[in-house]
Amino acid sequence: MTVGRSIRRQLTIWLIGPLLLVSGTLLVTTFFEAQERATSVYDRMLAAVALSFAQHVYVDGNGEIGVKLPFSILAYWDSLSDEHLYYAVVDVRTSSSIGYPGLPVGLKEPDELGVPVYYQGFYRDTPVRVAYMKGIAGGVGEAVPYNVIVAETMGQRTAETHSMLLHSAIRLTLLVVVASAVVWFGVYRGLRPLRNLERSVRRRSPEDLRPISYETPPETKALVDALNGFIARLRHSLEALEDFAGNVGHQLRTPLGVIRANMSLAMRYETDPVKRELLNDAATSAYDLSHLIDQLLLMSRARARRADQAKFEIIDLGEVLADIMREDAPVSARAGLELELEQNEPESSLFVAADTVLIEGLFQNLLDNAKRYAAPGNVVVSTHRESGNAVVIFQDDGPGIDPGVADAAFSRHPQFAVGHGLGLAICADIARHFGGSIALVKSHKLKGAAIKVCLPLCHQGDND
Amino acid sequence: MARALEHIGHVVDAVGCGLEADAALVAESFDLVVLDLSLPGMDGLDVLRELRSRGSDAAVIVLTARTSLKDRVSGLDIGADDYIAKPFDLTEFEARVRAVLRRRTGKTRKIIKSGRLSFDFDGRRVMVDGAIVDMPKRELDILEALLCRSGRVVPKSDLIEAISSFGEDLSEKAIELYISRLRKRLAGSGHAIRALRGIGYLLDEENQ
Repeated sequence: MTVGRSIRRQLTIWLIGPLLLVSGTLLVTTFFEAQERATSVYDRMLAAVALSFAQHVYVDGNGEIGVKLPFSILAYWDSLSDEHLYYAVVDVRTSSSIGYPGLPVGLKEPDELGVPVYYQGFYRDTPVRVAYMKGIAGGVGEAVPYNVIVAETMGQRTAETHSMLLHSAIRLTLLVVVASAVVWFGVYRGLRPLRNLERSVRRRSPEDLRPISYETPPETKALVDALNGFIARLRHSLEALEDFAGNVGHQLRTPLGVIRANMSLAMRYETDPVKRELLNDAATSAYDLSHLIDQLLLMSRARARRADQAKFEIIDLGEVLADIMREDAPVSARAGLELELEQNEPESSLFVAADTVLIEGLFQNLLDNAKRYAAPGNVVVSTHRESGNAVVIFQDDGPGIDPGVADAAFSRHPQFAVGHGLGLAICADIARHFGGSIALVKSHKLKGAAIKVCLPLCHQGDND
Repeated sequence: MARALEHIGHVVDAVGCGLEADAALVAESFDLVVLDLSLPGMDGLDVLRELRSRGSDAAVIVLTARTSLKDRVSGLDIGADDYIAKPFDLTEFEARVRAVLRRRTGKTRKIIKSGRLSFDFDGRRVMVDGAIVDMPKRELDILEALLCRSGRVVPKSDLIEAISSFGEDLSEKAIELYISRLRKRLAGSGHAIRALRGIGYLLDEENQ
């Protein structure tokens, strides 16, 4: 499986990308607006200065132009702090000027007298904003046309523009950050049903093939439906496989029974010891084969029933053990095996919630295992309670089992080579399925192996 | 199975399907019917039901591949005398056949004969090689219970039930005492009572 792009990242990119684009555009427009606003405010002040100059232009007795710098202009000058204000009043007739020479002039021509025009230029290598205005000074003599040029360095208005831009940028950045966080966590929250679904599928045991049934939002319903459909198909195919295994097992039993019966009969007719031994070997193999089929059938049943929690019932372990051993005892007795059931608890007190068929299979398998190693000898099955568990111990006086071999035999993936076939692995599987455990323990009564099964006790009231 | 039964001296008719079995059982009477439950044509349990509905008292042993104890004993509920799960040991099968036939004969002739031992239901007496063995009523009752289920384990609780009269409270120790006395009386009869601790008692022919 390849991991695609993260939905969360994709959604964040798709939501934050356009937001960043809009923010950038807003920032650019804000810059121009700020610039325009600063220009408009400062230009009006510049115009006021130019008009003040114009109002104080006079023509002296020699017909020369002069200007009295008004107090208000000087006060404004001071208020500009780091800024520089340059001015010039030019006599149009003689082109003589008062004030700063060389100010940029005539880049725009005003349309009418007394109304300034504004433009930008350079003075002393510094960018300046210029207000340029035409006027006519009247005196005792003729009217004298003049031009007023007022230039101001642009530090303050640039600073003002930058300040407005910075505030806007801060607000927009904050918006983008908050929106990103909201989207990131919103998507995280929005994807929660998917995470729940993932957890619920991950936590399931491989045998649990019930449909997913918890409430899902409409967006994930299609996914859950598809998963449930897949689970149903998987369950049907497993059931078909298990049915097949079960049917094959049943079908094999009959011919195998015939083979075993014929071998027994043939052995009775046969007097040649070599042939009798050969027949005996074949009969033993037929017995092993039928034992293996029993185990496969049990495994098939165990797998088929495990998914179905409804089949749990309250079982009296003492009664089940007594039934099984009562059934088995006559055959065992003839094979020289002495069975003993030691119930260390009052009758009908070891109740567990489980499936009767599987528990019978579990005990029968452990009994068969003990008998196989004990023969001829003794098998003692004992029961007791131990910290909330019903404990059943199968002991035999055979050669015992090596602990390493037992671990392998109890594992989920048993090796046939260990000599216990599938039996102990199936037993371990069944015990674990009902919340119990199985282990090789030290035998107290007999010298051979002791296998201890623990199953959680339940009260009969639990069934109500 | 037919060969095995012939080998021990029985005359056997074998059929391969439920319908044929039913037809054979209508046409003839048999001492023993060995009935496989999973038969083609007609289910073994239906064959058994039909047989019993006709009033036949032939002994019936059902063969079952079903492994649950409950499934196995359901055959007994509808009139089988015993059951045996496949695949089985031939010796075990023969022992069951002997025990069932003995009980069936006992019911009709009122006497069970098992080797050198005879139990006369009407006369309430036990004989070994034709000689009456004196025993108290309770030991007779226990022997009767064991003989009626010979080859199978009889739980101690069933023996208590078999010998105690209404309202009487017999202890397990008492049963152990009766069994011990019974064993002594049966010494030399070719029969032994095995005590299987925690499981019950089994009456077995010693030469088996």
